[in-house]
Amino acid sequence: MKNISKILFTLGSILLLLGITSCDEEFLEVDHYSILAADQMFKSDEDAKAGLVGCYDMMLPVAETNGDWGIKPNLFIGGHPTMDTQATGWDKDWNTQNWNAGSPELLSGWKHCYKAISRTNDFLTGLEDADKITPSLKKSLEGQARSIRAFFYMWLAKAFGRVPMLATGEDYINTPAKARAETYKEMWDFIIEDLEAAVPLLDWDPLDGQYGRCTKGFALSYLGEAYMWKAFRVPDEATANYKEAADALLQVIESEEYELNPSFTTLWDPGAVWTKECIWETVLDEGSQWNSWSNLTDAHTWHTYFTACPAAGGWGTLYLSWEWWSSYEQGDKRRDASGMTGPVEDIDPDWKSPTNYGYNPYLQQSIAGGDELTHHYHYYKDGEAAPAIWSLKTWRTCRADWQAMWGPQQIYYKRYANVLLDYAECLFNLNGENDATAWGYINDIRERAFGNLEVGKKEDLESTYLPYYQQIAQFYYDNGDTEVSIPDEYPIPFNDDLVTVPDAKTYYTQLKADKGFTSPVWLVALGMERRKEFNTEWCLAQDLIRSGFIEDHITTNYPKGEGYPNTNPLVQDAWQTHRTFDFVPEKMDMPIPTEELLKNPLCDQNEAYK
Amino acid sequence: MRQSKHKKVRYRCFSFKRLLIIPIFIYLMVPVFAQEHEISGIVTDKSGTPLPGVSVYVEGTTIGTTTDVDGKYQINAEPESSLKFSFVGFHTESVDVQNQTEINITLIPDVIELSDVVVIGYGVSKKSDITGSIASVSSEEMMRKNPTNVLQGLQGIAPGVTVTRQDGAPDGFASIRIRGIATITGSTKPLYVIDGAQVGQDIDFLNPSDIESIEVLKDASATAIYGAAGANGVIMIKTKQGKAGAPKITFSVDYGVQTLASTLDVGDADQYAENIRVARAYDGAILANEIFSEDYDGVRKTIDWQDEMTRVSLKQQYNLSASGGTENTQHNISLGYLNNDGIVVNTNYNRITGRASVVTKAADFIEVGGDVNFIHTESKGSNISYGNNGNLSSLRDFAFYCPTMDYVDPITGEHISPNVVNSNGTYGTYIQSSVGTYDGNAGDNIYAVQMENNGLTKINRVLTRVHAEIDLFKGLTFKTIGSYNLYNRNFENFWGNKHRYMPDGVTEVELANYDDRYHLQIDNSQSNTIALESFLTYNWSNDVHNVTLMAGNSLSNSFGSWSQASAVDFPGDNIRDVSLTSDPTTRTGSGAYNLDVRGISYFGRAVYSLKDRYILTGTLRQDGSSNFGAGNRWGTFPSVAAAWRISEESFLVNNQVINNLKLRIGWGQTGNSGGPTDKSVAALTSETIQYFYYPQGGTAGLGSVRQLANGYAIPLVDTRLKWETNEQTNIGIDLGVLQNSLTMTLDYFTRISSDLLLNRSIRPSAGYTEVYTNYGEIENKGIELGLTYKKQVTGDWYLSVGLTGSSVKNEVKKMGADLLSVNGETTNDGSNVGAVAAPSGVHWTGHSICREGYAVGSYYGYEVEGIFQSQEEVDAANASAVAAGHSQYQNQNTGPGDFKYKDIDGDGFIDENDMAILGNGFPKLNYGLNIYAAYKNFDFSMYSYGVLGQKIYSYSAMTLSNIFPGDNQTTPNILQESSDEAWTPENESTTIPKLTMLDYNYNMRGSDAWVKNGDFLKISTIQIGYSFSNEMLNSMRIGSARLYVSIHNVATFSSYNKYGDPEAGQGSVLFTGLDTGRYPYPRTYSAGLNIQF
Repeated sequence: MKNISKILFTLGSILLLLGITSCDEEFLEVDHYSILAADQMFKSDEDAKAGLVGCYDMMLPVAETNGDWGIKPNLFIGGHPTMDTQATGWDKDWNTQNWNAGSPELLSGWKHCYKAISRTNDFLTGLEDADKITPSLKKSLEGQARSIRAFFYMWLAKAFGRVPMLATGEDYINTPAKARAETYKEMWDFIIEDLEAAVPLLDWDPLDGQYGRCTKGFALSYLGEAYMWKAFRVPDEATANYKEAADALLQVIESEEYELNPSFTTLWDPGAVWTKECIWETVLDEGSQWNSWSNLTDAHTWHTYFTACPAAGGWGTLYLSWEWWSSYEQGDKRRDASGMTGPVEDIDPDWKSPTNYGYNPYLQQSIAGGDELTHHYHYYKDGEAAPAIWSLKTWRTCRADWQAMWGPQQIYYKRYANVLLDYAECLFNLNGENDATAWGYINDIRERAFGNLEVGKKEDLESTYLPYYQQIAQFYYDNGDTEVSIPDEYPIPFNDDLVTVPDAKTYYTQLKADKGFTSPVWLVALGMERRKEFNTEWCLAQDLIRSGFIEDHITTNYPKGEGYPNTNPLVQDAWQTHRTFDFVPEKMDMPIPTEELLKNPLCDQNEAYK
Repeated sequence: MRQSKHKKVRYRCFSFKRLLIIPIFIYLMVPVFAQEHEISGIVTDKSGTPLPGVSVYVEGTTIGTTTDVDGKYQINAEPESSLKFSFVGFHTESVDVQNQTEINITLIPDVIELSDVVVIGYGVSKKSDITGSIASVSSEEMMRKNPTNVLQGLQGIAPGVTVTRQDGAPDGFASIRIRGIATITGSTKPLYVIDGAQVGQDIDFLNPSDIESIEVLKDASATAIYGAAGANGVIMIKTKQGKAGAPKITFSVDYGVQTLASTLDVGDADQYAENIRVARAYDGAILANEIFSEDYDGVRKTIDWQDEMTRVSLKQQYNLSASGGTENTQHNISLGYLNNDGIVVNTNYNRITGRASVVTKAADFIEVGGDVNFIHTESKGSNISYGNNGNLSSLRDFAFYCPTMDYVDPITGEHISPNVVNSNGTYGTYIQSSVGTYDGNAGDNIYAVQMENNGLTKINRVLTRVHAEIDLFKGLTFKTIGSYNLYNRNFENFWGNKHRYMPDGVTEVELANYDDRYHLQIDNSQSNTIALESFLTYNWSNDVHNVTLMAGNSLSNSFGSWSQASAVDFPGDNIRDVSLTSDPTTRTGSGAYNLDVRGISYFGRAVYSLKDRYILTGTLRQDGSSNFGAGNRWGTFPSVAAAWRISEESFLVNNQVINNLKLRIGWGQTGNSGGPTDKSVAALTSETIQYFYYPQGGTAGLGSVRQLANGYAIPLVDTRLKWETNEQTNIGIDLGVLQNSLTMTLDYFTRISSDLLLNRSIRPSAGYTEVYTNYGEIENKGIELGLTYKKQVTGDWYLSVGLTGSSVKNEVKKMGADLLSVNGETTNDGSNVGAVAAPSGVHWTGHSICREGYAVGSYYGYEVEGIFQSQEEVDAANASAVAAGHSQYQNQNTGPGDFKYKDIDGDGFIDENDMAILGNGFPKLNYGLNIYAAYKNFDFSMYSYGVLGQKIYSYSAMTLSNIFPGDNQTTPNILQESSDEAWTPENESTTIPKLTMLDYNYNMRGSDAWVKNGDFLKISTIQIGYSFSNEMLNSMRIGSARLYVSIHNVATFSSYNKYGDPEAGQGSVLFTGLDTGRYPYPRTYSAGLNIQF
């Protein structure tokens, strides 16, 4: 009996052991409750669109602050090298070519772009094998994704020169180290290939009528610019590439899908976004409440708060130079549309704006009283000085308020005006400085700048753009500022009558002679027009670099040794920027971030920083 | 050893004279009285405790009886017969009756002496047969320290087992590390195995008084049988079980009074004011608060926050257990209660533990048993969201807080002197920003904050276990253990609507920027683990060979969930219902299932012993983990070890000096699968991803027309994630001399971890900053020594001295890019890194670094060359920097009295490239010295431990030397010594820079100025006990009783004491040796009584 029991127990033990061992792999498969499997992205058309949203998401700032993709690093790379935008405090090295590989702003821009590229690579990898997506949609999605990837690679290429190029299917796991593109040709061909591929995949109108998506116009405009960069970087092939660029840009012009806004002044107004002038922009929404931390989304940044005058509650990240302010001809409305000055007591009468002298007309805010620091050419505080000029492109839609630091913003990356001037640049390079078509496009830009396109359209313009300022005035009034009046006309008046605009070629020939520029007249004209048109827009520095005007601009517009150092209190009453450094062209390519060099053994540094 | 197997029968109550007389008498009387007579006596165990239920019978007959509750018996027997005494668990003894009428006998346990047996994975082994490195800790030794938890009991007792307390809170954390650190981001905790069942990496739930013995398996040849789970060592715990016989009841009580052991010598309010005045002068600024002007010297009220925030507190602990059983069934139940009021006000820890176990023999070949363990704890007032590491209980936090709440009202000019507590019980506070500006403090009365801290953490845990063991055939047994482990944690807090009052106790202070609404938060989480382990063991032996084979498998499944709910704004202070908020928009709720973690393992072990001299052990384990993707789930971990018992060789066997000499050598691998993770699965990101589309010419203003689209992205995932491997080689010697009164264990080991599971910092061009992957290699090399001397010195004197020492060198062998720590994050394991907050503010960013060639979590910062003595020195440094193309050497506002940092990269100025490795938190030597002595009924014990070659990266030293208002909204009140020695133009020979509140030069930054010598010797416990004699107790029917008094945390000898306690444990390996201040370790005076019935 005992032996039988033992046998039974033995069998039971063996069965128990066998039972457990039979679980094996299946037992080790567990449900993942907090994640969606990656293949979810391509299960339906809607899923695939959502996957592409993941790529577009990178166009927006990462957070509501300025850290990764908000005002920094774009201001630092696209603005400060021109010296037209100026930094102070901790950022002051950006005005002296003292930027370095350890800059957190450079690193954050680098990381942001590669995150976007990684997402588009993942998306394109999955899209290749997706068999549940409607074919026509699949084409559009591919075109959009390749456009987005090209956009971010162009940002890197323009900022850093040559960078590692990661293609579809490459990620860190299979490519732990990656060298930079060996040649500029290799790098720009990679970008051009994406844009060339995207052009036929996309329509002129955005998918589903949703502006904010890449279109054929986007692909062609950036394709043209990419060819121009290749022409700049590979001089031996310049002519062929300018031709390719011109062909692409001409398609945009001849499509008649785009046109200049009647008023330059209104381009940053919330009343109309994605106008016919816009080829690519990021629209930042202000949310639904003005005085609450709630309802934040990624579409908020603190542009207004950061760029407003400190005397009006702002942070003071962005100042514009008096050299830039003084570059405008009388009657050019772009100056007052772009900035305001402090109430400088002995200001040159030509520099005194009728609407923007110590006053923000959009927000009905004066900086004339209170803080006397604003009454000088330089705002001097805590041992640091900066020009007393602030941007109205960013400080326009709401007051700087610590409790509500976000306002609607339009951050333009490419406007039709860019295309026109880029095309003109191609024509000058191909046909010489007398190309009438090219001068014609410059003159078109200037006609709009002087307000001639506004004539007869005041009623339409005000119906579109004034309501916002009435609404915001009412808001401030309701919140206790009884000094505010509800405006009944646009803050900066529109032109009722045509004015005579000096011919560009004539004007810039004279200017070259007067100031001693060394560049050809056409390049001076393009460069100076771009300064006036694209200040506080992040294409400016790279346009000046690529076109070859940047050194002439710095050495002529910012002569070395003028004025006083920023730490000298005498700087308050001097308008000049005190340039101490000799311009180093090689520093127009930013240094590869240290962290990349440390963690990517195949990546090397740009020569200027070795 | 051999002698211990011999039968030992001792006769009591017979004088020598009687021994001589009795045989003669018997001889004379036998022919006449060769017949039965009555015999009586007492049966006891070795300790003299009576054994009830012992079978006493006349050999060869059916005549028999059993001992009564007092161990007494009476039986009739013939003189030529023999009496047999039989009792389960003891050797059966036989005694010739002859003419004796009284036979008292002591029975010897029928097991190998406890000290000669150790518990190993899936079995037990004679200590002499062990080939691996194992340290044994007896319950008796551990309990002399009156530990609140198991880790306290282990501190300083076993070589190579480093226990460091993290704070002195009543529920204080302690970290335990066995043989160094072999991971960067993973856990360093060992595996705990209780009575054969794996219970995970926490042992908080076990009452130390329930422990019978502890073995620490250290090297891989010992731990490999547990495969992945044993990578950081294994702690085998055997709990107290019932024994056959009469019920035994034990009761113990420990009652302690706790006091603050030491204080930090900071200045009074006048010294504080002087510091501010000096700093303001250097900073070129005026006083913001008039109260700190000289006019108020001697007038302003000093608040000693160290005194206000602490108290004399009580600690009481009670344990009751009952055990007993029959020959076939034994049981044991116990109940424990601990109530520990912390020495910081409004802190408390309450614990109830219960345990019941039963073992029964269903047949002579099958045993079934099981136990249930339950624990309920409640923690209040510490380790929750306020101040340093989320709690307001760090002594350094108290000490450096502004020592006065006085201020001058800027409107009325009146001197206001708020009280910590007003006479009517209301609280005062500092000047509010709505009233004026301040120099001292912008925060609140910390005593009030602490007293209003209602956060309460409740933990309930149940561990239940059932086992069955079957003797299948001769030498072959099957054992299976099933266990279920439930952990439930609840946190609840209700706060808000606080009020502060002027010194009159009536006039309410209008608090600036204060949200006066009530807040309610309730968090719940629970986790469950079910496990089943089964194995077969076979043993065969003859006089030469001894073979033991074991094979089995196990599987486990862990699962759980968590939920959280909160709301703000309640209509009354009695409401504890989220649904009753007055503002439903504040209601939040979230929760999720936890990711299941499952494992399957197969394991086997073979032990071969030749002539009891040459022993070979081999193990093999294959583990499968659900943490990895298909194809990478299985890891195989082998080990092999050999031992040579040299002392059994002919040339030593009869040596009078060397009684035991054994050489051990072993090698093995274990693995680590990391924590539960989704990181091996390609998935869509959970972060918010959205974008906005507009119509052409749409608006972006109020009421804008736009379309919000939500989307997906795929984060970077390493789907090839695999096992981390831990490889260890060990060579050791066990030596016993002088009749084993002096024993020594010496081990040298190397431990190399490779393919570490970590968040690897990767090239930014990957689009991500890190990926969870296998990378890197860490090496630990070390030596461990254990020396024990035990001697019955004279008849009444017994002495035992234990010395442990270990030294471990830790080095990252392969790392790739440096890994710098991120400040401001509080980890859940008790690491106080949250105190090093505001990285850009205090410039301690990246103070911990992992770099190839250095220890894990090495100190990183600047090197101080000296102090600038004049403006000329500063100007000269700046001029050189400008010549090198830089703006200045350090900072444009650097001045005399500021630190001058070393230009390590030689580029002419100071930036982050001038940071260097400043040392690490691994001491060169950990040691422990334990002394036990007994004289008659008295015993004395002393435990001490310490470290040598220890450096502490002391954020505390910085905040106690620099008055930059870095955290907790206060301008620090620094040490009196720092105030006295701070640089002035007249005091150039100093290492403390000038006093500055603005600290333009960032003297506060992480630098070698704050790396301090942390060597210490701590006398942790002194105890004196008295055991009452049996004669005294018998009349009270008490088996044994012992009374003791003890002092814990007796003294700490260290030059670091002025900054705080040098025992600066951290949970995270990355912050080893970082001192940010901690809940003070109390000094406890306690008395206790242990009684056994």
